[in-house]
Amino acid sequence: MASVKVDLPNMPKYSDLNEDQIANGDGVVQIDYLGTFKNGETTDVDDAVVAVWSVNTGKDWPESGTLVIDHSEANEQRKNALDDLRKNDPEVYNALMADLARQKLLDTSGTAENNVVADVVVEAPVEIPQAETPAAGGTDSTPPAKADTNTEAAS
Amino acid sequence: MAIDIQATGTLGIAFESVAGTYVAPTKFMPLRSESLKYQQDTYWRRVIRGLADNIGGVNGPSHIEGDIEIEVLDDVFPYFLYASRNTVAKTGASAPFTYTTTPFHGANPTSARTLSITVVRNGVVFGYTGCVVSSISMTVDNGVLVATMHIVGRDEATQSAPTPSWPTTTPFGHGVYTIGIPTGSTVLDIDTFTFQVNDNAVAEPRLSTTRAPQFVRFAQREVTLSVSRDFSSRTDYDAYKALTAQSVRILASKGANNSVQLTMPAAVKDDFTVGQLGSQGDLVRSDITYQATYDTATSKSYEFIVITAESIT
Repeated sequence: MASVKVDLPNMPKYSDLNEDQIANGDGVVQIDYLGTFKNGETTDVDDAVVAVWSVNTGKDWPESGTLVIDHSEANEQRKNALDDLRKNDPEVYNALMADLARQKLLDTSGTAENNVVADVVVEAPVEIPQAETPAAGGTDSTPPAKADTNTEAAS
Repeated sequence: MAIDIQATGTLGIAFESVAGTYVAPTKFMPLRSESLKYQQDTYWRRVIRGLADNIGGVNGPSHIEGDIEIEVLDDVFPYFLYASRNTVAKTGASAPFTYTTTPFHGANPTSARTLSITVVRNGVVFGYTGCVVSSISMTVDNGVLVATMHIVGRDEATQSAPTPSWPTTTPFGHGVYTIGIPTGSTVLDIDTFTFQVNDNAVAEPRLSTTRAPQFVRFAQREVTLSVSRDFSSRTDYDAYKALTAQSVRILASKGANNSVQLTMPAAVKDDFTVGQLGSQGDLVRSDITYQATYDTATSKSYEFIVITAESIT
């Protein structure tokens, strides 16, 4: 039996909702050709329904038998983007992490810890190597290069 | 690829962790329309070399620009507020959560609140990245609250096709509005309004190894509201002549758990047109345009408060 699992962190679990919220349509998603599903639950779907879905979307049903609706793909992409930024542009990365830390102050809901962006703060701040300074008594009077502190690229 | 109608299109959005790097959609929304477009300022070679023809094109700067028009859904609209020139405070220990905006004044969008916008047109996927909300226009269409967001972004590339999961929340229809002018005084003589905040976002190209803009910056903010009211006294008209500031609040509410509230704490009437006499059967009406000015008490020229079960982090 095929099934659909909905696990969306940005939506409340259906089981947590009151009557007004249910009446408003909260905690439920509708997936074309499959039906309506409650967040936080796994629901069986008929093979005939799966066949209709597959024909109309041009996609194959997952081999596991369960179509999972979640944010795993987006979260992975976010983490990869931050990892790349951390490796390639640590100054911009540090500025971004500092900004994210400040933004978390705006969230007093207690859900800020779910912030996938903030959660991938690996080892912030990254230690940035200083430009080499000439040895004392040297003849090179050129001052060390100033690190580029422009953070606009990250915004 | 077979032909198809526009009804089959989809649009989904996601916050990016690094501005301009694509993220697959985490929130899908029903659309009224969209016009997102990759725009390129091509350098056309019109050099003098014995030919009257265009010699060819050379890459110029490019960026993303266009509108997204939606029915205002309480679980969708806050995403656009996060991507606009606002800081958004989230409160509430569990659903419903309250999202309160405070406009900010700098040139840069808030980091990590740029959007990737995925649009599927006839099965072809367009992934727009680095998108911010340049302006929001909100009005009612036959009583239903609708909004148009003008988007400015950085780049576009094809992406894998998403599996949309649609919200089942419903729009704000007729019978859910409370309009206060000033905020504590409900008026019942308005049949339509149009609110607009325009932060005039501009894509900023810089000479580098990419054609996409280096960043998108905001400029001067313009906040206006126009309303049509039945005209019954000079009180408001005299306030217009005196440039008296008033607070204006528009609340669309389906109850304690789902609402969108717009407040302009210091709105000054910019224009006040009393309907000219010219048709025997028409009501005498007034068309009023407000400019939202900066209110020192609240540190805001305007504010959105959205109450929703959606948990945006």
